[in-house]
Amino acid sequence: MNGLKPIDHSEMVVSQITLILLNTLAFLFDLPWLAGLIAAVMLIGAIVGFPGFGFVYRLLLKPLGWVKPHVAPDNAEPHRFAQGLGGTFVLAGALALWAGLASLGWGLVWMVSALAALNAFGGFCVGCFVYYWLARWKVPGFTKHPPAGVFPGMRPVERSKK
Amino acid sequence: MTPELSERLAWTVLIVATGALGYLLFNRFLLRRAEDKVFRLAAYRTGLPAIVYFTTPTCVPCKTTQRPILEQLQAAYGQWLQVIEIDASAHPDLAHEWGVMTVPTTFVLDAQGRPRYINQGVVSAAKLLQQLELEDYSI
Repeated sequence: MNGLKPIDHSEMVVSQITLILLNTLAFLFDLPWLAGLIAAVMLIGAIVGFPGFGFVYRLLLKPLGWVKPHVAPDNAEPHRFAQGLGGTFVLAGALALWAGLASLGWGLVWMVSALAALNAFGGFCVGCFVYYWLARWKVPGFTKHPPAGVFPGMRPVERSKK
Repeated sequence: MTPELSERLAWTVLIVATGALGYLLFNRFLLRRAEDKVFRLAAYRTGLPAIVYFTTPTCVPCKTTQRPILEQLQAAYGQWLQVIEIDASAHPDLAHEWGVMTVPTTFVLDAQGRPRYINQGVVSAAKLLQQLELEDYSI
């Protein structure tokens, strides 16, 4: 099955929405340190292999039954790559803010929020799309291919058990 | 509220509104794209409003929430409404053609078969009735 694993996409969606809310708060109240903290959580999550703010889902929303699991077979690696990429951009944004480049800094933060919104609400993961293209070009370290019948980067729907 | 916070709030509203507008335009594009697909659905009968419901066997919110809502609507408005259920995992070609990105997804069609609304995720009975323009008909 191309090494696909069952992945709970609800956890990723909650993580992305949390990221958008925190980025918005950081911008509203002019808190570059919060952008730095968001970047750290995203990058640590990418290294460890969990959605950065997935704990909001695992510890709160799922036990309360407010968000139901949405498990579909998918590759974990493109999502980790996408999160790492997003975390790097937010980190670059935070560094730009500390360097006094407000427009560039907040522009990068908002760009990551926009891409997270596209993933959460539109089901398209731009970072995963980049990963799959790098795999197509046989770049070392990028070995996974999209699930059969799924456009690279699109969220797969659950497959029926046959 | 300080002027700086007001300015940031205005920017936030502008950016979020732009995103929401983009989302609405994208949904409109999906509806336009679905227009010529309706009459290729074998189960579709002309002259009745319809809900085209994309689901999968393993979708939990479909089973626990969306299907009961649709069954309730069908029981109450059966003669004025048709519900066409499509298993997106068994018919990935149809899911792709209709631009389905998640399940449940419901398309609301008017009596002429024009796709009028798309709902990505679970949608309430009240909203579906409003979209079908059936809220004035008592159950």
